[in-house]
Amino acid sequence: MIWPLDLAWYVVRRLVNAAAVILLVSVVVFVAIRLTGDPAASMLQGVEPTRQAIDQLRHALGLDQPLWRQYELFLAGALHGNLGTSYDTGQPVASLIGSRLGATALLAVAGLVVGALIAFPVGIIAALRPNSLVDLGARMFALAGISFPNFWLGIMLITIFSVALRWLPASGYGTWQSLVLPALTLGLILSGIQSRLVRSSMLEVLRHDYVRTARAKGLKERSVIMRHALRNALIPVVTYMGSTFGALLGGIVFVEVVFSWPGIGSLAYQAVEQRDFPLVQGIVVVTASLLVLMNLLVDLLYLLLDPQIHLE
Amino acid sequence: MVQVLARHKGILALGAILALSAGLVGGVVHPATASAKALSGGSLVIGEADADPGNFDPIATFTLAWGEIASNIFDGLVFRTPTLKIQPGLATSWKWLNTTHLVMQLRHNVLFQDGEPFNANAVVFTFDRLTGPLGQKGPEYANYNAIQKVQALGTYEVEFTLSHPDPTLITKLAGYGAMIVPPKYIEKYGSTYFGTHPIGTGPFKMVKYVKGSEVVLQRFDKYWRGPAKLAQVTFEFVTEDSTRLADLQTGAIDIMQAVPVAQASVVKSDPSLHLMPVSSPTVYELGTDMSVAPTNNPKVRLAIAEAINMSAIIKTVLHGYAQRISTFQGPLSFGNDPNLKPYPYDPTQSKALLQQAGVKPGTTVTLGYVGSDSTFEQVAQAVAGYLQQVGLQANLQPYDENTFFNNLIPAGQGKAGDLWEFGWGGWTLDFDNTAVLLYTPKQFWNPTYSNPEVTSLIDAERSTLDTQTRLQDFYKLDTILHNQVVGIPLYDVTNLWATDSRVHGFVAPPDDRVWLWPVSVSQ
Repeated sequence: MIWPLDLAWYVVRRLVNAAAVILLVSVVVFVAIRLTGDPAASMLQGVEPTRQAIDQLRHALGLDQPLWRQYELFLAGALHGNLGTSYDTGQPVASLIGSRLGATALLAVAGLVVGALIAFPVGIIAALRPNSLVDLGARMFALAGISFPNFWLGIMLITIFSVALRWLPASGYGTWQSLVLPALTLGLILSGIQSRLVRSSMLEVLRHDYVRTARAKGLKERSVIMRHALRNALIPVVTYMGSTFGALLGGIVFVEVVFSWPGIGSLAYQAVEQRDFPLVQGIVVVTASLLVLMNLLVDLLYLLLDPQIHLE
Repeated sequence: MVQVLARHKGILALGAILALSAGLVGGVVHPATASAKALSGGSLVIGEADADPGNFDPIATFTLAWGEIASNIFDGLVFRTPTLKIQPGLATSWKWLNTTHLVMQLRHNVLFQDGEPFNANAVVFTFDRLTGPLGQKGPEYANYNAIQKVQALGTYEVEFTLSHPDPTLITKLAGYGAMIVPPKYIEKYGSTYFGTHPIGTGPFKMVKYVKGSEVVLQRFDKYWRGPAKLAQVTFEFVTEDSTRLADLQTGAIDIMQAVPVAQASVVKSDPSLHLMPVSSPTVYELGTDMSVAPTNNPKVRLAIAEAINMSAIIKTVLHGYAQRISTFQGPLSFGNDPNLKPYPYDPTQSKALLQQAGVKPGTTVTLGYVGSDSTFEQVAQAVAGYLQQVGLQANLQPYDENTFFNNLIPAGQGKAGDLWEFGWGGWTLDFDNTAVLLYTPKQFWNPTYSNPEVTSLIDAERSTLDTQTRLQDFYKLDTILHNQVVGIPLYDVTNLWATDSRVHGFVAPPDDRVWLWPVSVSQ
């Protein structure tokens, strides 16, 4: 049994660790982005500037100050919720990120739901009929999901459902119809490996004595699977889903670009291309914070699934 | 009750996720703008190839997307038509008092979209802002740094004082940074708000902006030219080429910017669509590193130029959507000498020149290019093939665009290769900008080339407003650059636009400044 005080102390410890991780991430991204080149030249590339103009802009943006001073200013602002001003747009970074986070969150949740709705039935059925044609089909489906590039899959879905069938829009935002294809793209990719994980986890659990006991007690097979086996099979699946949240965000970038979905992924892509230092820094720090929070939530979810797990 | 809930935790969890998703969908479905059907004139949707500029303040950006959208929200003192003629805009006439003083008479009875009147104060405010501390943090200031002061001589008269002569100033007054902004509105709401809620004197007003997704403009009925024909225009940011084409084919958009050359045949084969090629100011060349062998030898550079069958490359790789050029400017550029012919395709002469230069067969030259530029990659491969035929082994090296243009090329010393892809916008349509930045010493993209005769000609053309004198200086400059093979000009780009057959009156803009005032649609 987990005492409330122990749980509270555990959460506090994890939050302190999280703060240290985020600080380290901010230093790494701050230095790394500055190794990629001069943002002043990049900003002025379209206006065909003189060298003097580039130097003048560099000075106006404070880029000629010592690195430590630039980081000090960034950190001081970040601690007050000010992530700086985008070089490319002149808009506050926090506002830019805030305006795009909802779209990415929506796409991520929708993709995870679609992925789970596909992966769970496929994985369970494959586990219940091992080495059958159904199982073979499920494994091939998983292999396809892992192999297909997400941007290619997105373009294929557009070609079929938008251009050929005219059922769904190829791009856009704000309607449920515009969410379907991007969510399906993401979900299909995710479901590939998730279905494999559900299958192998279920196979492992189905061998346990308590499952044999449940069957021997005369419980219906559906009850054995859904109430006894699946719950324990979910633990490694949840672990995987939590640990790949970062990869999910990375995959979302390509989906957002293909479908012109106005999320944080496409914003990050643009920011890196433009060497927009404050925006890149802000996006990395915010997404690192979300990742750390996600990991904490996953760990707390374990406790819900398996009270025997100890806080240490 | 607790036990029931505990037994159905999974279902409850799934239900919570679905409810969250529904909430997010509901939350992001934005309220509709005023229906275009309620306003006569209809609506139009344009698929924009570039990303959301993020800020519609004229001093804060240089992107093509900004130009396409904001050219319909703002006006400048002068107006560049879709055929690239300079006409009066918010200024009705102007006169140079000398090379550094320009007086302009302003148009009467013009309103900003919030009702504020346009007058000399707005012009002074606009340029004070552009050249002041805020403007100096943005990319546009570099174009206007010759402007020392703008003062009001009367309610509808202003005088520009320049720190040095700028013969391209009139053209630049049609540029992004010189769009006139409303003083009272900006003073009231601030620049940050103005950037996402812009107000100008143009034919359309922004009524909706979903960041990263779309901008919706509605007709401004009190526009000084008279109301536009269209009631509403939507710009959708669809950066992926194949997605944008799919949108055009399905009718989700009516106008598509930047049809990829390889997809032009798809548009042409669709009877409901209309392909609109237009010559642009954008040019490409092979930059040459004159600080390292073998390209430091003018015979080698000329040999390379004459080894390439550019006409065949334009026909096959670019599907005919380009034009040959003799210097690093397009036919629309002021300063282009139409009598100067491009380098001939002569592989025999090319081999002879290489032999004279002592270049052995099999010598390797590196050709750097932007890896994400799939069109130029094909051009580069074709160039490599032609070089191989004259005994040069071209080593193709792709790079990230930003690193390439802003780190490697400026570094010189062969960092970008012996030859490299170099594209140039030429937005002023005057060779002056190109000449200064690429052929005068110690410029950012010219770390190595220096020629006193060239510098002298550039100084001469910059010091006068007389167009004939400037043109003659440019012609001399063109000849020197051509004879010395300072870079190998390849082609001038033909931009491809596509429209649905319901669109009327749309002229594909050479400079990507979409002009929607005269455009209409079939209902």
